[in-house]
Amino acid sequence: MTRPFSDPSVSGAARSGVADDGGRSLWSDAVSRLRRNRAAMWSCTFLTIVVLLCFIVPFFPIIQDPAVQDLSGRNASPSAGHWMGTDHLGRDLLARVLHGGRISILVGLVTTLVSLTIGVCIGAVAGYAGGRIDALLMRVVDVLYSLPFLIIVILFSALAKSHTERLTDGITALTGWNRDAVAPFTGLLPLFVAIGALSWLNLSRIVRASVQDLAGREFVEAARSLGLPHHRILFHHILPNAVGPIVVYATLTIPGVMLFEATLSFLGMGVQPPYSSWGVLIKDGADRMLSNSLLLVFPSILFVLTLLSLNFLGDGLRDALDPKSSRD
Amino acid sequence: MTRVILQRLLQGLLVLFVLATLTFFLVRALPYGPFQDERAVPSHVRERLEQLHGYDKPLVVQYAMRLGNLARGELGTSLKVMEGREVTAILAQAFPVSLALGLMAMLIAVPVGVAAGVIAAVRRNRVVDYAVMAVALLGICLPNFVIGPVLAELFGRRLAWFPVSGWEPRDLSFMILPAVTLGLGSAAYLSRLTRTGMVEVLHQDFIRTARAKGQRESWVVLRHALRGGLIPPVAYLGPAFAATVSGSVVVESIFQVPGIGRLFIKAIETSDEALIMGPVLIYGSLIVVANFLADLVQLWLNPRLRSNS
Amino acid sequence: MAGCSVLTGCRRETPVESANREGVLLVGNSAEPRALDPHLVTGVPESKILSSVFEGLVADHPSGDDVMAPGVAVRWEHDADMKQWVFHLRGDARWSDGEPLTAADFVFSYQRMLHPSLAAAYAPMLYPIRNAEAYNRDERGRMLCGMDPAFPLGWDILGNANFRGTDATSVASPATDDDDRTRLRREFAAKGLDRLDAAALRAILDDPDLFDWPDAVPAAVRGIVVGRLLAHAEAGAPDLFDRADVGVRARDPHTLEISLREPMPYLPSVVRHFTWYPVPRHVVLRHGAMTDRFTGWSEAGTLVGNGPFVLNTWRFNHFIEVVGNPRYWDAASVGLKAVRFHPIENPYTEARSFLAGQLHTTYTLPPELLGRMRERHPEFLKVEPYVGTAFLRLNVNRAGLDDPRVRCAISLAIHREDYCRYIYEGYQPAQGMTPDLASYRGPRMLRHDLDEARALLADAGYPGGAGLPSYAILTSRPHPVSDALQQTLRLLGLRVTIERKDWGSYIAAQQELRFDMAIGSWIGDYLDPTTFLDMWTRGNGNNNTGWDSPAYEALLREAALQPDTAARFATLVRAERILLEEMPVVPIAWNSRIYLHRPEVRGWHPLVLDNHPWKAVRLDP
Repeated sequence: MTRPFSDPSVSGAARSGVADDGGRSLWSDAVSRLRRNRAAMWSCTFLTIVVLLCFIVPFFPIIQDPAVQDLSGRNASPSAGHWMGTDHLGRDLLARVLHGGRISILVGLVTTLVSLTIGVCIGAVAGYAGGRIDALLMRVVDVLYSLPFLIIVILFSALAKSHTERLTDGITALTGWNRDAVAPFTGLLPLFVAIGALSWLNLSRIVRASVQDLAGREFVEAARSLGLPHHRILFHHILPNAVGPIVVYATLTIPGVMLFEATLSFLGMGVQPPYSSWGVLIKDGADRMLSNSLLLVFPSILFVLTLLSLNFLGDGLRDALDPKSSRD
Repeated sequence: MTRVILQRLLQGLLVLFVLATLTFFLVRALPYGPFQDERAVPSHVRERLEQLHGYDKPLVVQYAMRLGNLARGELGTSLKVMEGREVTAILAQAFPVSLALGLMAMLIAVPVGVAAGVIAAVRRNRVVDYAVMAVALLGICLPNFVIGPVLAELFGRRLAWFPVSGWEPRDLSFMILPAVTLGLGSAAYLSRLTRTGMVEVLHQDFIRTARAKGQRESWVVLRHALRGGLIPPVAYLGPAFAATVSGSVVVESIFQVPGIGRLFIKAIETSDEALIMGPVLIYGSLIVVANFLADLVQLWLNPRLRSNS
Repeated sequence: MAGCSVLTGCRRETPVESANREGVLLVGNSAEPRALDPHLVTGVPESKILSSVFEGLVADHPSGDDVMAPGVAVRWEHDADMKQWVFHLRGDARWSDGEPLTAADFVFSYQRMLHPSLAAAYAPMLYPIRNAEAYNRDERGRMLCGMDPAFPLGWDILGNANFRGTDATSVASPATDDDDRTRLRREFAAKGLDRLDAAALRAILDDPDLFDWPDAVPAAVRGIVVGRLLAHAEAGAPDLFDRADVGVRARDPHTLEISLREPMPYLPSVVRHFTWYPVPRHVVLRHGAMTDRFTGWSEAGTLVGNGPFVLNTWRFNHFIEVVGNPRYWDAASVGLKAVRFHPIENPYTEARSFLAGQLHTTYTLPPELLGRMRERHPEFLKVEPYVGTAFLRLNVNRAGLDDPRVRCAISLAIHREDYCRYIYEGYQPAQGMTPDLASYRGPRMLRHDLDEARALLADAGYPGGAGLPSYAILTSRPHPVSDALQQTLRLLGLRVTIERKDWGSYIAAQQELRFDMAIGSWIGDYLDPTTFLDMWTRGNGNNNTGWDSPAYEALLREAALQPDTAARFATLVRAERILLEEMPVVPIAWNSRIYLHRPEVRGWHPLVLDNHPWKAVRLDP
């Protein structure tokens, strides 16, 4: 990461921060502030645990195969053999929750990445170029912002879902990879596209504000007078200074995206069987509350805690990078 | 002022146009035709149906026809969900239901959220503050499809205070659980924003001046601070309404409320183009109107903005 | 709904309690009806409502599936060959608006249902009527020439000409260097004579080489055929109902004659189906032409029927209410004031509604709640045999599945008792394709024997599943049976994935044979084994396996000509034996109707067809 020349503005309302050209770097300041935020630190720990649990631990034999059904042992209570009990088909609930988490988190991360890319590009270009381009881009953003998100996402995902078969065929034909390996990803692709297509709006506004602010600084003037081309200035000098707010809002985008995915899955339009996410598990649990309430309780708790942690972490990052943002 | 209104109107129309176009092409891009049925539809039957509804014309022509119809206010006929019925007739029954639910949700969310935020701001950094903010955060992170079934089970089935699901037009008790589920997320957001706004205002000099003059705390808060403190939550009212509208799709499904959301889901599942378009445009219009009204309220609250627009 | 205030904390009166007082039956009815025009719908939820506002020639009996109760017809008779039937309608039959109901209404109804322009999806239900199929398929050549006794050439020869064309969707795209004539010839051949317009027919008259005929049809006859078709087209393609001599006739206002294309001793059972209901001619025509779809004649406020109830309220996606029809001939014995149908699609929600006292009876019950209901509320639980079979449909065109030994191996691997204990709870293990109906007992040929299955597989050249491609089980919604089948087939060494498609794509894929295996089920339409066996024939839109067997179809035809029930059933058993030896479909379970039902609902008895006549139901709290 390049060292900033001066203190970038990081608050969501894009107020300019106080330039600190003195001794200490911004980042060590931020990190120490973050460390002092206990909620954020606990969240960090929790998230790390969750990621480990969902991505690494299932490879260990202690976790069972979530697909194995044991119809004679359905809806069993938690026991030594099944720490969270079993679901309505006798599958180990813990394994289901961990594997579901893998999909949920993956969708959250990848979609946020997609959002990030689009949002940063558009916001940066708008903020830097100004004038008509900026007006046009922001007009587009305004119009898109006025669309009912969930509705459009539902439309997109219905459409994208119906083309995944062809996409899987295409990719399998092109690369010769095993269809079973390709299918999970092409199955999720529609979600990445559908949700990512609309969740970059806020981010672009933030980036635009930051870039606008930075573009007026002396170091940019200096770079321009040196004759550096625009894209170099933008991507090598300005954006690295705007990393702060980008990171903050990216972190805060993830829970929103995960919520979207879970909602879609609840409506039956998100993750499709045999893959399940926390959203699917929650839907199954909500339906079957009469026969086994644990099916709802465990995935919900994990899902909500993950969302909470991401929010705490995001808030913590925002506080750490801009102590003047209004929180007491 | 009129300029602003006109500008907003045009933007609103643009939004609806984009929505209509997007929806049209997305739906038509779905792979199977509109005439697949549970039992095999004989091919000559299918051909005749396609002829009847103009599916044999080129796509661009159909698009133009559709836009023309929409401009005239004709939303078309449903082909799958309620075959042959005018979409306007279907929505005429469903819309009041969704509207009632949405308004009820906002009527719960706004006072509760704002009040909670004010209380938290006034009792800043004490137990009340932390408690309220914790509940608010929970409200944001608990999806409505978790809250809904839990509320239905607890207050509906076990305690039998409210009906588990369903809808009776003149019976408020059917509205309570879905409205609470729907409004909780917005209430949570609003409370946080209100708290933020109030805290900022309460720090300012004129507040100290008012206190120094010996005015009562509650008077200080309500008369002086509220107007400024409400700026952030009011700014969020538009998006809050949008979120409510979107969330209603899920809540209606959980509580069997006969509103637009359930029709929309059915229409998506069966690729019923006209019945997709209708709700989408209604949702879009509602959000445009809500945003506009929210902007008006903001202008009233914050005179500084008037010169800028 | 009355109820004390929530704030005082007292318990509200449940909807069921107030409905009991008012004599209203609250019914969970799964899906919102697409329409209430008997000629335009195909679903079971619709049929439930239709049977409350309409009544057919023959009515359902509350406790006996095979009892033919008088409906609009008081009595009926048939001739010795079981092809000519006469129904005597009751003299005081009236529509709910007071107009008399006559045989002419029935003729009008069947004509409307079969009219090619109406495009009724369920028109094939009326095909047993003589010439109904030809009329419905608009087989102009056959109607204009084949049915003319004075025509110079018999239909047995003339019928081989290309009237029906090849499937319209497979018109080969013309090569760019085709001249016009070749293109026209190709187009005409694809469409077939029946579908050519006046211009095309004129062109053929001028240039006979534009159309291919079989040699047995002399040139002169060709000219006559084209001439008649042209005259018909030029006259604006008038309705051919009379010309086609469709086998329904009103001998007088209260006598209806139905002539069938083959003997059908079970016709009274068939005419109980809603596709045979009468529709009010005077009301339908008041709202539009006979063949206009969805004119609004069947809405609340306009629908006129002849059943024990009339349509009172239709709140979309909310409920449909029917109230007692005072003009019904048997109004005195109708026990309910009203019936309210609630479309609750999610079965879990429906179960919760029932337990919260919002419904008297549900449409279904999620299988996993079965155990719980057995323990806690056995008085509410109903598990009754139903006229349906759940099966695995196989595409016999796929590699490996083209060998009946592989298909039989699949069947032998399935442990149907276990499937019915854990997956299809409440259902019975299938012992054949056709469940036990009336006195029919199919061949008991399905067994579970894993070793034999493996041996068969090896026999077919795929020991341990080696050499077989991987298959996908197509399903339209997540159902434990797909996972179970996947595991079962793994035991044979087959690699199986599960492919889920939404309903429309799922249907389309099967109709176009773009699948390996598909979960399916079939609910019979009437009380006869042919409703389960007729579909596995060549060209039947519900077959979708790629399988057909001339021997099988010959036996079905033979059975159709046997008036004696016992002999007919024996022949059908032989036919079913062939089906089960070849196994293009693997029956898994025989359906049961599993639902929740309050004990105060009387006049409700287990019925295999599950057609409970609403007039017999009473509330007795």
